[in-house]
Amino acid sequence: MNSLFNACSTALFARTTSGLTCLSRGVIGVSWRQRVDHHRVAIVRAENGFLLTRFRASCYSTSKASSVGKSKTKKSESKLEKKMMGEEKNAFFVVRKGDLVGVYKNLNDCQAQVGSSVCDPPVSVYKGYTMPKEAEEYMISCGLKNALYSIRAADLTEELFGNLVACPYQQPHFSLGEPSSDQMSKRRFPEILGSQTGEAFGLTSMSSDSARKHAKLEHLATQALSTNRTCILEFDGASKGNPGQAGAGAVLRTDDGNVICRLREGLGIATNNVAEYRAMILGLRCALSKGFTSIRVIGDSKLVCMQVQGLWKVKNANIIKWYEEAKKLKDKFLCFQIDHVLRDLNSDADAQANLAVDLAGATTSFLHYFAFIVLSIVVLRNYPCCSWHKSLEMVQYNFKKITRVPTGKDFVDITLSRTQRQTPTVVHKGYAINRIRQFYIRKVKFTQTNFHEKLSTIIEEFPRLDEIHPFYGDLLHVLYDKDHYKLALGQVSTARDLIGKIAREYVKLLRYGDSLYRCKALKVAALGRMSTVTKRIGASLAYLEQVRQHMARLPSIDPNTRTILTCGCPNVGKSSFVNKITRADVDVQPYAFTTKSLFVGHTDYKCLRYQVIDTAGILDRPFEDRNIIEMCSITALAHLRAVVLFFLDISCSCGYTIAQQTALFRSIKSLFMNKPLIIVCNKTDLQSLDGISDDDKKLVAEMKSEAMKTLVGEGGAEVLLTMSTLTEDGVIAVKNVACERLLDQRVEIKMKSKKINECLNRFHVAVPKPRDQKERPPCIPQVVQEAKAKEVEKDKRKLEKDLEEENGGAGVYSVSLKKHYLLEDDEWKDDNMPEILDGHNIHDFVDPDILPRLEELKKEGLLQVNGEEDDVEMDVDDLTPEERKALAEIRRKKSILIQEHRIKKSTAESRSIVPRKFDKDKKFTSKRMGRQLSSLGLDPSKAIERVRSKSRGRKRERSPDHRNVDGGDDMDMDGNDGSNKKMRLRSLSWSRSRPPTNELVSGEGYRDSAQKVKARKLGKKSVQKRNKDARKGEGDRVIPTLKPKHLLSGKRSNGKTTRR
Amino acid sequence: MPQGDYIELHRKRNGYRHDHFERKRKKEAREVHKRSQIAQKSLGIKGKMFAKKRYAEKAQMKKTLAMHEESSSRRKVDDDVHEGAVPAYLLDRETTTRAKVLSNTVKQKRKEKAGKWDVPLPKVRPVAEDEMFKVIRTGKRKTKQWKRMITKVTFVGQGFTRKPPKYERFIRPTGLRFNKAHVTHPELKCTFNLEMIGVKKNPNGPMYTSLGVVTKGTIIEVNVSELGLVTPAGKVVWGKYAQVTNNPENDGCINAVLLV
Repeated sequence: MNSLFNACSTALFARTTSGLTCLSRGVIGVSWRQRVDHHRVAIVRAENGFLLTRFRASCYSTSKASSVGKSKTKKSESKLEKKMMGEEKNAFFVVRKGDLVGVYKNLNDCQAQVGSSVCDPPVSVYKGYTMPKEAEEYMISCGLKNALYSIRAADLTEELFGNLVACPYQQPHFSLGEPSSDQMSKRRFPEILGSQTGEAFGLTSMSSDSARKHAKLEHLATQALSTNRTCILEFDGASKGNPGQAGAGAVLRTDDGNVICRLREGLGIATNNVAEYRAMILGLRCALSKGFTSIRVIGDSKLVCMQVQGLWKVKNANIIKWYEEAKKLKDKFLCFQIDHVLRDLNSDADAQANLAVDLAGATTSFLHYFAFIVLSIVVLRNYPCCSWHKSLEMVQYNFKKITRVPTGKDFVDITLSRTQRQTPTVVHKGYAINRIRQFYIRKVKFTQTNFHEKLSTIIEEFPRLDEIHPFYGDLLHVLYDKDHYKLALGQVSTARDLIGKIAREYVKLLRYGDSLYRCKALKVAALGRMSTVTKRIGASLAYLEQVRQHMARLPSIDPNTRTILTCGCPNVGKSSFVNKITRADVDVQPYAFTTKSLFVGHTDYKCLRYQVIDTAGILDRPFEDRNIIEMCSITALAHLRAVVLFFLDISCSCGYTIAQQTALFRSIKSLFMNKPLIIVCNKTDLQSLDGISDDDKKLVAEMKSEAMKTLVGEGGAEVLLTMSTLTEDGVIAVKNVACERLLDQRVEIKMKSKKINECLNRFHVAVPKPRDQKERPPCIPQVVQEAKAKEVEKDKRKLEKDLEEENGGAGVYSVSLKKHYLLEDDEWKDDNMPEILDGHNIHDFVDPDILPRLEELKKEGLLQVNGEEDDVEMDVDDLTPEERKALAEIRRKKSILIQEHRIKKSTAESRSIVPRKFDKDKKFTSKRMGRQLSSLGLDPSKAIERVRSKSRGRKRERSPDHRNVDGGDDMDMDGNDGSNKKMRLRSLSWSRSRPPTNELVSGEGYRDSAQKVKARKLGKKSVQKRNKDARKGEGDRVIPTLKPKHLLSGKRSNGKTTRR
Repeated sequence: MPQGDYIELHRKRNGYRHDHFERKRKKEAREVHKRSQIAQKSLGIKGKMFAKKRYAEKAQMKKTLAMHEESSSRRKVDDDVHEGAVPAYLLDRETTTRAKVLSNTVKQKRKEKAGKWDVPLPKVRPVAEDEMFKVIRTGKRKTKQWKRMITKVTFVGQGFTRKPPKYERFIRPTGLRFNKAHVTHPELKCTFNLEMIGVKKNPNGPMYTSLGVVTKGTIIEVNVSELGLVTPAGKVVWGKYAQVTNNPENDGCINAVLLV
């Protein structure tokens, strides 16, 4: 959660800093992280005003002591303390609430502001110690109850309140418990300091003493939350060398996994075990001081875990000391549990320990997360609070990361070749028998571990259906059959055990091996049996591989996020709707069951991301008869906490009547329990809702009333909506209503949950109560107004944009680029500039008479053109009636031709070339051409002759012989016609019909047959390589990969750049 | 098409790579040469394995071809009457010729007579004593050499109690003790993992038999009650003999053939 919030806050960081600097820039004493914290608040305020972040109230207090950050020694601390005690009297609190900022003299007043309503703007409290006089001048009460001053946040300037320091929210404790300002300052002081040192990037030199003080303070701060809670302590020690430079690190978490603080301590020279002990003690102390009564300790040191539990003895004198101390601390907890975990599960603490190594001896550092409460609230709305979701980190449903499962055979090959590569290979008879035995034992063991590892990864990486979210559990069951899946994994696990057993057996036998031969034989047998076991689970492995591939391509649905779910009969427009509001690109076809699986898209509403799931259509039939496609939809409906859109095709064009659709609705009604339900009447473009028959109307009304039941405690929301995905009528309305309903429901659930109470109690959001009816607008003092006015004037400069507005807006106004030229004389600005080309002024080469000449030329040309046009555009009046007729005819024809051409052109791309025989109109026959030509008064005979000579005959030409046959002078002896001859030719083999290859044929250009043979040989040889490369011919010079990666990358340990 | 099927989606949208088919064709065409390269270059066990695989493939291919050919080619119908063919109405009659029965019984008797010594492995390599035993030096100065350790697999009965170790002449190491054997039934052609009851005879000598040494060719008695064999009288057979066919000390398991 932390990381998520961090990510979003950093993303927004840049945008909002400007608005915030006014408060944070002056805060020298406040360290960076706090500032970031501060920004986060603002970010949330600025961006997500409508979010529940309204709860957020943060407190900062100011201190004039800007040197605090630098002061690290005890001396300066005490000095500061004194200083602060004096200042406490004239301290004031600045409360920022939404847009208004108020200043209060005491904390009680300001707490009243930090009201309790959810709808209030966010409030932040800062504390200051001095107030500049001028600031006091213009602060007049406004809006906030009992406030001394108020001011608009926008008018805040830096240094208005002097330095502001973050005021820990739990300050009420001070005022309630110990009112003495003396103690108060004492307490607050290390707080400030602690937070700084915590951020000091490891260069802390704060004594552990002060750290303890700090811890005590934190105890007060977190007591409220820790009363009935347990915490988790992760600890780890690290030492460079044993003994060597050592460090202890610990991470304290709440039981839901939020980090409370990170601790690290430099230990100087110590052993690793001492470091582990010290780390645990460090963490335990911190937890105690925070008031936790039960604790779960997690560490990767087996020694510590066992010894603390009393299972192992403590012998080492160095350790005994720390052991005793740990024991004492342990007894202080009501409930103490210690677990040993693997190192990689303890990485947080490990990181701290590694950092601590670099700390000087006996220094402690704290990283505190004040923000953690805030964070949990902020993310509340974004995360579900279902009881199922309890694990420390968010479970990611990404099945893409499962490693490939090799087939049984590959499995064996991989493992055995690894054994061959990674174990020694040279052994001799003459070696001592023990050495030979070890050599082979190593091989057997190595193979076994490899098999074990690989099989284990399979078992671990495949999700266990019982442990993942029930939605995924059921989906996987529907898709892959739970029993089969479990069986396959079970077989893999059995194989792993069997291999282990085999290895153990053979290692035992190898110990009695008395010769190299016998040892080798035993090794071979061992590896062989392991391979057999693996080969036997080949079917399971193949199945798992298929499952893996399919799982990797499942849409990544987050079962916990805001979700909109579509459902309904097939073909009612679910996918079209999803396509309209998301970019899922679901295939939409006019037939049922186009969507065969779940599809996911995302849409935004009010800056929040919604996941839209498109399901396949469901048929109204018994549960057992439903197929896999329908079961996917059912699974989604059953397990996802989403708003359900039930699609109703009121035009019935999907093939289901409204009655049928209602029947489906009834049968799956139980799946809509506890989910906001909206009935969406689709396809209103075909049929309006009012136009349906009365019976249908009744059915729709029935559904509507059913849907109304889901609407508990929310009045006025619509449950029956109409839309048309075709005309996009009402699509957005449906989306908006759905999102709104979902959001309301989620908030309600969260408000009802237990967790929220814990948080709400701690939060205290103020509502300014109106004292009377009087309107109290912000009062801006004269000084400020004047200053503002001045600033406005100063800023005002006529921009091009303004000019544009004045002179007719965009498109009308054209910018003069010459306006800003810097010239001696302003009049020169509009002068023509000489155009220079190749160092010459073009004007020097221009004939001054050119324009008149051009005029002349134009005139001449015009005359000519006119003359020509006279020829063409004859005056119609001059013509005889026949001529006129002919002219009209010509013009008509011309226009027809043009039209035809246009049509042809427009369809030319999509038209295929039509063979002649399909040319039904017989447009392009030679006869027709002849007719046309003769109608034009031309002799067509020549043209036709030419065309005929060019065109091919009707029959296919076969060979020169064929033509001869046609010639008729060379008839067969049987007197048959050509067809028979053809057959005979075909039946004869080609080799019979041509001369032997080596025989010299005149015209080939060979001297003798020997030369011919040689030439043939050479020819064959030349194409040999080409053929081998499967090239098409000489021209095929394709190089498949120009730069093969395996040749060109990496070290050349094996082979060269050209060959590897 | 499901949502995640990005490869198919891409193909649907953009088609294949411009040279996809050309590459495919070339790859196919080169495959032959590549394979030949491997066949020529691979040596030793790899070569053998490759050849075997290739042979199997080719044989399979030939069979398939023949099968296809058979379906399409025409043959003369074989109308000859085979010898010993019987008309349909005589099919279920038992026809045993007298002479046949006689010879059968003779054979049976002969078999029974010789059967005791008719085993699958009639001859085995004799195992020398120094191969069988390892001398163990004892005594304070390690000068005494009367103690032996058996280096082969042994069978030790369940009720066996060791003599006082000091005086034990033959040590049968626990790591080399076996009490189960993989027994193949020659007629059923299947193998069972059966418990051993005892060592009937070790061909290397009576001493080894009494020590329970199991080497190649040893006759062992196994518990076949699992198999459910029945005597002609209808009793379930409990113990049966089997001959060991492998070198158990080298293979780490005992393989045996049931003597039926």
